[in-house]
Amino acid sequence: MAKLEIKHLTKRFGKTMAVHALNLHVKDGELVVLLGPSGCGKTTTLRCVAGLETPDEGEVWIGDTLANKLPPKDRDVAMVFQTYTLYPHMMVYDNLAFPLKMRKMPKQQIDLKVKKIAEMLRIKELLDRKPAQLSGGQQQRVALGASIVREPKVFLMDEPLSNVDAKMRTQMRVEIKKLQQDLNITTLYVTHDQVEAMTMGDRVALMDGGVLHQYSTPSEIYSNPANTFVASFIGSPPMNLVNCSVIEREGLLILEFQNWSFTLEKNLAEMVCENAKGSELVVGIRPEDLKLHSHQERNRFKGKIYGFEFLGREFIVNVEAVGTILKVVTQDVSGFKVGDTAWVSFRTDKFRIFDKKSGVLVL
Amino acid sequence: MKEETRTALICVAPATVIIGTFTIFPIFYSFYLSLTDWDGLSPTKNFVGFGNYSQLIADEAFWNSIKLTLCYAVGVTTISLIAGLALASLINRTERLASFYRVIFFIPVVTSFVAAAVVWRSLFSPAGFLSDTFRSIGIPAINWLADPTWAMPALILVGAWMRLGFNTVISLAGLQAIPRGYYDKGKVDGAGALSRFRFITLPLMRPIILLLLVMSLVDAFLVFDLAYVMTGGGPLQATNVAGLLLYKNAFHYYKMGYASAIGMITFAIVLIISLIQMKLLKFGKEV
Amino acid sequence: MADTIFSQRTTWNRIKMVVGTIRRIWAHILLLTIGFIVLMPFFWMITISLKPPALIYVPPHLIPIHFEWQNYVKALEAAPFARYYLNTSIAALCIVTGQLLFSSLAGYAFARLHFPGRNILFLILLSTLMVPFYITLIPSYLIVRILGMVNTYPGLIVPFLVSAFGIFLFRQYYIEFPKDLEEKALMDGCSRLQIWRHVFLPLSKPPLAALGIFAFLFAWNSFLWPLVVTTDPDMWTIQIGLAMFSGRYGTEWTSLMAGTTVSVIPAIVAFIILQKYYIRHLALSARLG
Repeated sequence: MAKLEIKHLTKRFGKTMAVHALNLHVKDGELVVLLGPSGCGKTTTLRCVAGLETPDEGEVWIGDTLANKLPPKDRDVAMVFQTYTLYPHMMVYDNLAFPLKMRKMPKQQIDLKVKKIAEMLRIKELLDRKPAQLSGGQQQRVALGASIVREPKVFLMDEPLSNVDAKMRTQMRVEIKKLQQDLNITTLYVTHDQVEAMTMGDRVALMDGGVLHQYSTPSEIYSNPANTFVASFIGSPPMNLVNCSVIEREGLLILEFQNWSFTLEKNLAEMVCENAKGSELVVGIRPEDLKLHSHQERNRFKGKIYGFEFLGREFIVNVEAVGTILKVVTQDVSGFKVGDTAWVSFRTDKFRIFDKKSGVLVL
Repeated sequence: MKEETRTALICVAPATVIIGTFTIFPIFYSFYLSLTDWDGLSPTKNFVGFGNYSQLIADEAFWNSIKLTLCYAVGVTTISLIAGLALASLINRTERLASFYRVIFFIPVVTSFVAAAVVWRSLFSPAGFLSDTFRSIGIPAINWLADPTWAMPALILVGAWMRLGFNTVISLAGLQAIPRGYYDKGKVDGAGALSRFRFITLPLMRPIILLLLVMSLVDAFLVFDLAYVMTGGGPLQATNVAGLLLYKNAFHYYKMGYASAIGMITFAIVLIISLIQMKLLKFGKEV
Repeated sequence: MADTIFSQRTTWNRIKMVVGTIRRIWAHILLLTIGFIVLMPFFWMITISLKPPALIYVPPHLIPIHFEWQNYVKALEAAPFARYYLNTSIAALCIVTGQLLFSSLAGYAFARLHFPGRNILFLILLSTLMVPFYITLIPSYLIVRILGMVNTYPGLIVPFLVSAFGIFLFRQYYIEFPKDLEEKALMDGCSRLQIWRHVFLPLSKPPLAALGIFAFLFAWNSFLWPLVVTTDPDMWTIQIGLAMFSGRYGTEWTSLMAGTTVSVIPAIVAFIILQKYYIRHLALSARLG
């Protein structure tokens, strides 16, 4: 039970900069997800916290201890690997007991703890089996058990659900989250799956290219993405991003799209002028904040239906409009078919503007 | 010092110490000894420079020994290699009992040279099985081990017998590695059994054959146990192989310096033979 | 028309099958015969060892029909075979244990630990495989003599406590181990040595078995070194005992063969039990050559 602080962490592999000046503070008992595409540096960061990699610069603080010079076993952290690594030659019981045995805990104590963990993770009947006899989900639960049996200060998880089949994955997401909350262990969870991140994380740290792009709660990261990368990474289907140019006319700001223009309200216009660097902007709006209509009205733009994707619960409609293909999520598509003209409206409180060059959120 | 380095040193220390003491150090010490005329007992050693070597080179007994050793090595290698390949081909035809045959032919390999020498000595003796068999079909019995002409062939026979299983097993592994598809294509292309052997099996087996050639030759050069127990080097030096010569000089004639020189030259000869063969290997690969 | 072609085809297939079977049976016949010939000296040995001495010159046959166990008793009385067995067993046990332990440790270090000079040291150790006894015999003997180990068990054992081949074997094996397992052990609180002890070693059955049988056969069949290092008959190993016995009782074949049989049984039995591992790793030693 402790907070985790990563200060100015930098790690290079040869010429490649894997992690660049990363600052991350995880609160006590919090589950923070390190999210990002492959190669973004999230796993490297995790391994630096574990002590499996040595950072070139920066500090790792576990609780009140500077962990940089400590070997993994002295850092009081536990790690679950992607391949749910278990000792193949030991029974489940011994796999769970092993970390405790290494710390020279007396046998009875070990027995108590192991049984308790087994009970908690519902693997009590599997104690005398060997890993090869277990299913993927069972193995992962044993791996989890082997990590928490030591009651570490920090819990590290490296894409633990990547090798689990899809059906088991949704179940395990809930289990892991519940476990973490029950035990109140500070956890750093690495994944490339944004659904996992959004559903499990108390806060999400989105990384790309070794750099932290945004670090906030799931709802914040969803509604107020810090830049175009975050906007397009989070959300499925991702936020629609449309290029536009901005013109000033009579003190007002007009956003010029292909075949349409939109005038910004005065206070919004002021904010844009303050923050935007150039005259090229990117407007972002989430698919669920767009709506299709059969008639034109104010603040609706014209589009042509390009195609439908049926998801069971809802439709994704691909609409050709304002010079690009927009995705609209809706449950009712009656009256529309491919090739039809549709009028698209949007929620004025939900759109975002980004500076085109830097990608940073402006509004 | 990092824990990793410290642990590593602990792990390799025993190996390094033992191998260093009993293999690496002896290389240098042997050379040093070969430059003395030490008898193995006196407290002082007299430096004689390359005197031992010049003596050796002029010594007919030494060259006779080398010739005999070479003769033995070539004999054993030829017989056991060809027979081994033949046996391996035969075993390769059977599907299920391959492991069984492998074990059968390998048993002589795991018996000691001493035991083999004792048994074969009795087989070769005038009252033994072989002589009896020969007599029963009318050939005059040969007193193999007492006949200077036949002692070496007898030795070669036993040596080959002991080596056969090894060559068979390795050849078999090589044959089994050849995909059946090649042979099927050969059959379809109209190649008969002999052609298939010549153009498919042999080229693909070439590296293994050459490897076995080098291994068998070098290994045979090191013969000692067999010669010591079966003939003791006789009769009349007919089987006085290099290993025996070295041993006798070191531990019977008290000429450790001289014996060391024998060892060094013989090793050099073995090395040269191996290098020549390896050159041939490379040559073969290019061709 | 279709009928005849069809029946022609199956007849041809049947002929091919028969030919194939005949060829296979022929191969078996040949192999069994050759096998019998190759093992003939062993049949001879066992047969003679079980014949009463008076009947050895009776027409030779290869399958024992007499069972004169007295020959074995006589052999045991004539020479202390039990003592030789003991000596060889002790030496073999120590050599096998030593080689397994030290080769595994060194192989682990070369495979998974990083330390300065690692690759050079490995190459040097590996290159010693090419050094024949011609070079090492005399100096090794002198070292053993100086250390006062002549005519002792250590004298028989110490030079062979480590095998360069074994180190190579274990290194190859350990290099394939998944890194995750090692990292997990590190996080579980193991020191590098404990990782070897709790993770690598328990999972090393194949190389342990292979090296074990290699080392055992080497130790059991060893002749030259024990010859050089022991002068006291009490310390003789089975091979030396056998050789000396044959020198003294060369004409008493029955007891001689009894002694020989007794000396080869452990080697053959050990081989048959572990032959799978031995032969699998034979290929490895061949590649080394």
